[in-house]
Amino acid sequence: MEQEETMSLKCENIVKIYQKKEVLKNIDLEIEHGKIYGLIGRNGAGKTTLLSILTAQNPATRGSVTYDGMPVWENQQALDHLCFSREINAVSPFGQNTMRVKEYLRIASVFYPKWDKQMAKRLTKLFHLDVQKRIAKLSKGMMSMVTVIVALASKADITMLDEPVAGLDVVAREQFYRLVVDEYAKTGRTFVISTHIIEEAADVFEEVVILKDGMVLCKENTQELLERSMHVSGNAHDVDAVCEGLCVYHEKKMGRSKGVTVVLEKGQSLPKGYDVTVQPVSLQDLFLAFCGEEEAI
Amino acid sequence: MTTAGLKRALGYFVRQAEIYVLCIIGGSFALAVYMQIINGNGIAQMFQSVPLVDLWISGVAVFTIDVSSYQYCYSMPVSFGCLRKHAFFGTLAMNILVIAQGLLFYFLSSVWFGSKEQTAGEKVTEGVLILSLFLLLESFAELIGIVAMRWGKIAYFIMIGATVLASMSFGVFVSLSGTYGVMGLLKEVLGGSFMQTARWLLLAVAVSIAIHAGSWRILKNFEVKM
Repeated sequence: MEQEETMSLKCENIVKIYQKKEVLKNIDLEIEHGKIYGLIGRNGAGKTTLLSILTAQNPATRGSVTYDGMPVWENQQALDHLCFSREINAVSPFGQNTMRVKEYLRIASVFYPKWDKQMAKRLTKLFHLDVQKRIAKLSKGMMSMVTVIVALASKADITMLDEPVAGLDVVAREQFYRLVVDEYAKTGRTFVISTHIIEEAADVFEEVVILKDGMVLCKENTQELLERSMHVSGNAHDVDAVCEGLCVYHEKKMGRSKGVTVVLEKGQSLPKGYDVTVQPVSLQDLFLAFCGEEEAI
Repeated sequence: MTTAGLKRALGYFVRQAEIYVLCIIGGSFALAVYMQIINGNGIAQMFQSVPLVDLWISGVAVFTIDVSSYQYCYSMPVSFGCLRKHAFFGTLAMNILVIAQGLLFYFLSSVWFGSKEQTAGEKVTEGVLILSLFLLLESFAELIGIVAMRWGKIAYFIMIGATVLASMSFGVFVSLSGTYGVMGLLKEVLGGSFMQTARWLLLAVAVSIAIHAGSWRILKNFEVKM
């Protein structure tokens, strides 16, 4: 852990409007130093847009983003600490996909001031990437590996990855998470990882940020969030009695039975004396409870 | 820190310019030789058309680079943390280098391959004329690039259309040039005296400044879409 404790990336009242659609709605978020964040949300929730705005790749319609108190927009001093490695478009006529992997990595090395050439070399070997191949000729998984290499070798203090495991097989995903955790342990860099494969990544995320409809639904320590969340099931009458006054999500009814996900507030607990089953929930269950559609069977 | 960012951007764009220049020069020789072989000319005339072919390929390069600049010159550097203004100046520097190469290599190869005898005054006038045309071409391509950046996919069709139109116009121009030669006809059309060509240069510079100023207004809020 080499970095100062005070560094943080902060956004306040971020609004992003595309044409007439409000994609991000008054987002306040602080990415603190030395943590691994998981950014999860459904398709179209605004994850990529948020990461783009945090790294000044896209302008916000309203609001401000600061790194260590400095505005990030068109500020080299702030941007030198940030990296957002995004997915590469495979079919763009003049895009990065037309380049060879070697050339793409060389260009990344020009712009990232702390670029670790040895690490980039080591990772290309580890992922068995043919650096002479054009990016467009790579499989989806291989393209993801290229973005992972850029993210890790950039050595940026705050590194963001957009769907880095998309298309990766289970072995490569395991390798990726191990690499992130190793790098985090060695350097204390901050990682923000957006993903749809929640279950596998849950153990890696120290904090989780859940986006829903362009708003931050929750930003909390993953373990603490899971400790105060549970699945309550049983007779509908008993479940209703137990859950009265509590935050209840994702009700599922089956005849007279009912199951709900409950998230307790600090100091709250489930009342005793009811014939209900209480089970722990996983991060994926919780995400489904927060973002899944209500359903009645 | 800001200077370091500019240095990195220039490092990237100058390197790109070097690659383009090498490709243009190599391409000019290859195409000139190919054209002479097709025409059944001997080894003596093999490299005679190199100067003109170099000008043509440089023009195509300047046009293509500018038209695709919103993806190739801005998206990637900005996504790697380059400032928009640095990417803008870097692209300008790259275009200037390619144009300078076009001019320089045209005159050097004209001397080497002895395609024509010219006085110093004629050379300057011709240089100013070529520079004006390059600037106008670059400005036109920048305009298309900006239209593409602003209106997305529709612009691909505009780009393809404009490229085909530009190539056809050049083809028609070359075929009409006949005994005048391409440069001769250009001088006939645009005026051959130094004062006349200087006016063209002033016009080209004014157009270039106006288009690049407009381009910066859009580019300063450029959004990376990859």
